Amino acid sequence: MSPVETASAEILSEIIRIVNATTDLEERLRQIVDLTAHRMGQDVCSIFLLEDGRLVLRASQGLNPESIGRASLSLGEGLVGWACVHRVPVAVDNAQADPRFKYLGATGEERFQSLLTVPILLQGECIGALVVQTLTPSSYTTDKIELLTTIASAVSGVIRTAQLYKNSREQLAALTAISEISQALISTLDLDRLLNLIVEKSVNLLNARGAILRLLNPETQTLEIRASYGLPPDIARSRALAFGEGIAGRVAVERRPVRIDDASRDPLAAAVGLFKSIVCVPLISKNQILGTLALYDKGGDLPGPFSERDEYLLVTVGEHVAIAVENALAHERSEALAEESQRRLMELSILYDIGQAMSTTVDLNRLLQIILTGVTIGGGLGFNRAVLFLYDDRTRMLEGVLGVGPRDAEEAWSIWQRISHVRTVDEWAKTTDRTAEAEESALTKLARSIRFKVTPDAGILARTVLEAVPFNIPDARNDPRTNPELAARLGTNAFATVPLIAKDRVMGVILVDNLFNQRPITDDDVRFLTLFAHQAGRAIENAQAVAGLDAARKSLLELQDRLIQTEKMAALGEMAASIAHEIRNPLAVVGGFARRLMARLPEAMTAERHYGEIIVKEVKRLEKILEEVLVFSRDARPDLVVCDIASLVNEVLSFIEDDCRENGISLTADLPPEPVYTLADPAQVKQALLNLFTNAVQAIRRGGEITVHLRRTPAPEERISIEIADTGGGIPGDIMANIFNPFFTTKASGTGLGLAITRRIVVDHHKGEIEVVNRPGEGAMFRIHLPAATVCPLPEAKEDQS
Amino acid sequence: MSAKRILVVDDEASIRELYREELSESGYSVETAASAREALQAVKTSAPDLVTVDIKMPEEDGISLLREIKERWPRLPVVICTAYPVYRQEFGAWASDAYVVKSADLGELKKTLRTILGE
Repeated sequence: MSPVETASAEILSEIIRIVNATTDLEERLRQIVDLTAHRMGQDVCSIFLLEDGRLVLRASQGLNPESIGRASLSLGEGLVGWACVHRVPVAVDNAQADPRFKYLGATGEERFQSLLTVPILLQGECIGALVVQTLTPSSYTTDKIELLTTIASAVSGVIRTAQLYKNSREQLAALTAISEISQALISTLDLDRLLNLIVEKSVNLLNARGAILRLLNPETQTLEIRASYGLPPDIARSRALAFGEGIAGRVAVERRPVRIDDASRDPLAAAVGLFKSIVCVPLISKNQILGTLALYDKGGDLPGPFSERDEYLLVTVGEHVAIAVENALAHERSEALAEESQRRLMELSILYDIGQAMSTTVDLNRLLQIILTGVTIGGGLGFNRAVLFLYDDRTRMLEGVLGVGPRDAEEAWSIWQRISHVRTVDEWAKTTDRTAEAEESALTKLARSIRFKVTPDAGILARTVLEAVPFNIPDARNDPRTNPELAARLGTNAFATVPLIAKDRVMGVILVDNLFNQRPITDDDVRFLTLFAHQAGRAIENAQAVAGLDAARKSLLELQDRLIQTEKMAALGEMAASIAHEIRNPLAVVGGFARRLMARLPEAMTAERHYGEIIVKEVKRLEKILEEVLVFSRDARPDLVVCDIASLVNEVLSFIEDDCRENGISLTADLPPEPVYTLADPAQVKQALLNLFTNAVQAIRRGGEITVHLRRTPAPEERISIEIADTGGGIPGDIMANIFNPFFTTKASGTGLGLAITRRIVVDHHKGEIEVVNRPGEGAMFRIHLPAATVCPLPEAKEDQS
Repeated sequence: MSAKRILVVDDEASIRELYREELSESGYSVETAASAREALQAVKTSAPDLVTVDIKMPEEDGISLLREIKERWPRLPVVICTAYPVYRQEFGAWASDAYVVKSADLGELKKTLRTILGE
């Protein structure tokens, strides 16, 4: 073996030792240059590697360590570049004298004289150069050149091994990462979790700064950001992109990956201006574009652009991701479908439940009560409050009839507590009758104060009737469709109205709100309520039909009753007229002599005087009854004369003054200062008024107030109205219908003719009107209207007796 | 001044008696008649200042009596004093100067007499 061969063998075995000792390429190269410099007795040994067309100093013994990785030459430049281009060793004794020499700054090579460089060849390609240098001039022998060439080919093998190793390691890492991502992808069907996993794993896989995943929204046809990782929040919240817009838009349209190495040079990426490099891949499943996955800024210890390999990896990941996303989307859709059918099922069961409850009654009030309870109870539609209006299409009037809901938040809470155990409306309807409670609720009172004619400009309730469609008003104050007065009276700013429809006829309106928990009313709520309202409308129609039959039957019975009464009255009147003379005369005689007797009895005869008084009083009563009964006689006609109603009122007041004083009743009269003339029968008018005052006194019994107002209403409807109001607790609702019927009385004594007579006098004899304003629990007010004749008083005549 | 003379025409004796006593006590000079015939006779002979007539009497209808008095003595005041409040309109206006419904309380009648006789 020649000395060269021996040296070669020794160096090669050393290199094998180095390769076995470490897997790190940099370290191997460092040790190789050390070894070479030492064995070949050189001051410098360096390795340049070809990277992106430039020879970069990668390892050196003897040159400035700072320049490693920095100093570089282009191919053909300097002695090293020349050797690489020509693929031949170059040996020069005085390198700086050679015209090909190129001084590499910062390496400190100016100190060295001689230079030997050989190209490192790998499968015929030059991949770099091995260089040795000495401080003192020396000439390189063929042996030395051969030795260095051998070493260069060993270095070539080392680099090759390292590259293979690195490649396989990277491939393994990529496979591991993809497998990890795949594992992650099948670990969840929850779309959001999945998307977050994808961006995180992708960033780790490609060693990027951050990632954004966009999914196509099929409705808007835009790419919405659904997940991001490693990026500032304001970027992660960027707006959706249309097809073709931005990098993601371009990827979605072209269905091809886009890789941008220098973002500042790309017009699309530069607009964002935040990233150096970008790679973005489409997510495609079953030939449908689902979205895009983009990674930004290759990072880590080797900063720079994304490589082709990165792109390939991301495409692979994208394929997996697309399938997973597709699965998750399908899962989400089926979840939504299941949820929807679950909800429909629940709605149906609520409707069925309320329907059951509604079928328990044909009583309209009870039915309305059940309907509104269905709307407000938790097991029903669950609104806080509901108000029901009925519409009369004959008069075109819409009228509030019932309100269900707590008065305030506190009551709301206590009701919720109380009924929380009640599961269904039907159960509620069977166990509880709250009709009376609802009748008196504040909301019902409020509802009943709302009554108006339905016209197109009468506000949202009217529109609900006329257009027969629901309205959802989330902000009444700023909604031009609503009448601000309605919202103010209900004390609510968000409400919905739905029509109650039966056979294409609008029967009324249900208004709902969530005043107490402020839960927004959704369109779904309104849709469900509308569904319910159709059912309720039919039930109301049935109940109204039944009520109509009932009312017809009642009114027939009443008519029959009235006929009987009329017959009775006529008979009574005839009899009264015919016997009046017979009775009146003896009565006048009895009473007249009793008075005379009284006048003659001495004061001392107290008992006798008492008896006399009784006779006088009873005769007076009989005469009064006679007079009352006579009003009903067919021949009774008013004696119309010009008279001053004000003075008639005053006369009547003087009759009852004593009675009032004794019973602690205050009497207030509001009479005009001037006379109020009209044509009337003064005796009858007085009788009519007296009956009303007497009733008022008897209703009050003790301690109260009676007020009387008299006024002449101005033309064109000129009439005289007399109002008599008391604080006697009003007329019980159940007898209101009967008060004007003859012989109807609630008093222990009395003919029961008082109000009948008053009506006969006012309505039949004076062509006037009489109305009652009843406030149960407070008092009653009777108002008499008499026609105002344009008359002036006759002068006081009748003095022509002479 | 002498007492004003009043003729009370009524077919019921007890009424005549009551009226005589009450009106005498009020200072009138009272004569009575039980029928229309008696009444016409009394007007002729005693020339009363005022006549009260019950419009329903047996024998001769009170209404014809009224007509006759009005024809023969148009200036003699006549007060209808009756148990029928319902004929006020028919007779009150043309046949008499006043229309009073009979009552145990003679207050209204007395007030009417005072008004007509200008006291």
